[in-house]
Amino acid sequence: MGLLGGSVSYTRFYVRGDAPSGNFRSRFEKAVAHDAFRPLAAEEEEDERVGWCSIRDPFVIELERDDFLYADHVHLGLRIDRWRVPRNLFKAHYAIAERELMDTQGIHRLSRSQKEDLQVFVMRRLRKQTIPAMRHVELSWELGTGLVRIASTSKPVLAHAVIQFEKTFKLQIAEHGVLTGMERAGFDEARLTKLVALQPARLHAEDEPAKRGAKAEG
Amino acid sequence: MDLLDQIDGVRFLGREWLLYLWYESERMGADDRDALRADATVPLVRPPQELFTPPGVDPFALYVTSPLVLEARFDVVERVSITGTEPSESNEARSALREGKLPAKLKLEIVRGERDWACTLDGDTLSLSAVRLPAELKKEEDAALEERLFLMAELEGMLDALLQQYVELRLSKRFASTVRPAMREWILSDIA
Repeated sequence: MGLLGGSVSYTRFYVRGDAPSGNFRSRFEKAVAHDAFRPLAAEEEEDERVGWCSIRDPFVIELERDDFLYADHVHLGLRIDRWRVPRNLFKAHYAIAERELMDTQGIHRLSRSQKEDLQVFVMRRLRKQTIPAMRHVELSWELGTGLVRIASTSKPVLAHAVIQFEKTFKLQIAEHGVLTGMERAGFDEARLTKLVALQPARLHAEDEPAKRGAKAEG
Repeated sequence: MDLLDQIDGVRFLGREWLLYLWYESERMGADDRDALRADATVPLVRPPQELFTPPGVDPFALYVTSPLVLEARFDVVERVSITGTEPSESNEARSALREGKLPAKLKLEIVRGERDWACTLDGDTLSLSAVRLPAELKKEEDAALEERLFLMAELEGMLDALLQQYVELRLSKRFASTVRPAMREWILSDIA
């Protein structure tokens, strides 16, 4: 459930700068294909991978223009896969492998490089027995207004989404907030300057020295 | 100061705004909510100017519902979460305000005509969670998504208009001379 149906949690961002123009559709198609999701492989070093997929199906990762680019919207899914091997499970398997290796080689201690190699070997073996944890986050961008809705309120997920968006589309986005909201509402420079200079209002007490370091209203 | 610093510098206004919405919402009653429905047979109990009427959008009713999360903005986070049928009208909530806590999250219900929305608004990030949209009419996938985005935009339009109204009030002399004393009086007043 999310942008597509049911209850939804989301955060708004705004593209800074002008709406895309010119032959952007062709450019976007290539950029999305380039940054599409690629499944994690146990042999690779990466713990996590992020990439674009269909907004409707996280397993559709080969996207053509019509799959994500609409008349006035871009609708994409962001897929975030991460290996999650429980620490205790890893430690138990590492201990067994360490003992076996020492027995095989007739030694009582492993060198640092042997330990590092063994850790990689054990981790890859465990990864082959599991599947990565997957997150699928919906993203919808209104091309005309620059509004980007990302169906998450999680800071790490939003950080991934912002990085991926800016990398793919070569555009910066800023989170909706009081300042960006008022910029969009048409506040001029003078009012924005006054806004930035505001201090918290003390609403709960009479005008007396601020409690525990809270700033006084300006 | 760069943009990120400026955004962080005025983040406190989000919680203040939630408090203001709560304060204002207490002027609304259940009768107003019924009267606002398009098929209403009862007249407005309160005059229209007492509904939420920020510029640029049609009037609507707004209610604070459960749960209500209040936090202090001191170095150590002090948080209370109040549930129940009318948490905003509880003595616990008023007491938390007197201690300097402000709403960190506010669960709202908004009614306009036959449509009603529910959402939880985060005071720090202004993100929206648990958003419940009015029932959609379109069944085809793309059309349904378009309709949902339209309904989200309607909700955002009302919230953005309220935020702008608060910021303009906050920048005006009227805030210090009239609004702040009235809010302080409300915070210090006893619940009947």
